[in-house]
Amino acid sequence: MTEFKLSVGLGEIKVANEPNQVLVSYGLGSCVAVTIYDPVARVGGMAHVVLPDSSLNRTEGSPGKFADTAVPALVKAVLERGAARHRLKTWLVGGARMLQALSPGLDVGQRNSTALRVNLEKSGLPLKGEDIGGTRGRTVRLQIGSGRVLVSAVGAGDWEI
Amino acid sequence: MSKTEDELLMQRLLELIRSGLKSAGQVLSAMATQPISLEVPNVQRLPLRLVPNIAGGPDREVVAAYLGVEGELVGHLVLMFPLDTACRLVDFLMAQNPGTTHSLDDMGMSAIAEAGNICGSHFLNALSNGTALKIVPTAPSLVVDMAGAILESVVTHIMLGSDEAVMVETRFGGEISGHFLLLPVPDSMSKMMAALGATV
Repeated sequence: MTEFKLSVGLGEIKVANEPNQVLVSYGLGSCVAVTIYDPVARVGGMAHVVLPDSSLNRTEGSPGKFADTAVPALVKAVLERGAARHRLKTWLVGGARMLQALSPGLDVGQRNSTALRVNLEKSGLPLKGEDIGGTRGRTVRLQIGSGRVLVSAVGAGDWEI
Repeated sequence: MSKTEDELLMQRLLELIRSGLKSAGQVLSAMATQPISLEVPNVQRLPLRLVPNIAGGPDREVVAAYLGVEGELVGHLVLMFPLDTACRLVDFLMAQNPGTTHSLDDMGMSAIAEAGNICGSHFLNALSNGTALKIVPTAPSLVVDMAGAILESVVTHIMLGSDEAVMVETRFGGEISGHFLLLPVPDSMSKMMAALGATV
């Protein structure tokens, strides 16, 4: 089966429900991809979250950009495609600290991860797996047909979470 | 800002960057004991959300030298090469036959860091001279990883109030292609453009 990759860019939210579709967030650094999936309806979604809190915002931003707005928007988007709320499972990937020299003391990756955990819990969504923190970049893929969530890093191949 | 005015500013910026990298090339030539010219074929303003896609895509393995920009202009400067290109640059800098370097050891990393430092500081010097703004680079740090992961981490720091970066394509010795990204914090971008406008 030919895979159709849908790339989820900075601040974007994408949803898919075809078995051959794969949602991908490439090259996650301090950003965190939140992945959501209903294994019965086989509907999945992904948000590429950039920052922890929308109250920091000074410009126009899509809801996917911030942890607190991304979670409800992502849930709404998969429910509209036929997912059921009680079946939803979630994963968090990313939140690394790529450059120590970049604003020491301000670890955006960690703040993103924490904010997403809080917002997932607030929404009552179970966290099925995560691969967060550290100092290396990651790519995450959600295969819609199988519901597998695969992570890869430079020189490390793929692993499932 | 009218389009022509904007084009004029970018033209002025291109001239400044060319002169800065020309002097960087002279320093690198002395280091490499062979002439190295640095060309700047292109400079453009780029929306931040597109930044992780430069240099061959967000999951391409790259070597990046990062310098913080401090003083009257605040922001980030990144010089980036795909890994295979970085190996060719090491051969070039160390006056070895092309193809000698296949992976980056400490010596190679150090050569790239030094190239990043020289190019970055000359680039910022030229910008400082051309805008009369006091600009100071921080010491460089080097990271090897996915391009997108490195760039988005930098972009994140300015994304709260900014939409644009300045991207400079550069070629070492006419063939080894790399990318410079200047990512000023929001207030600094307008300050830089205003200072450029005052000197046109």
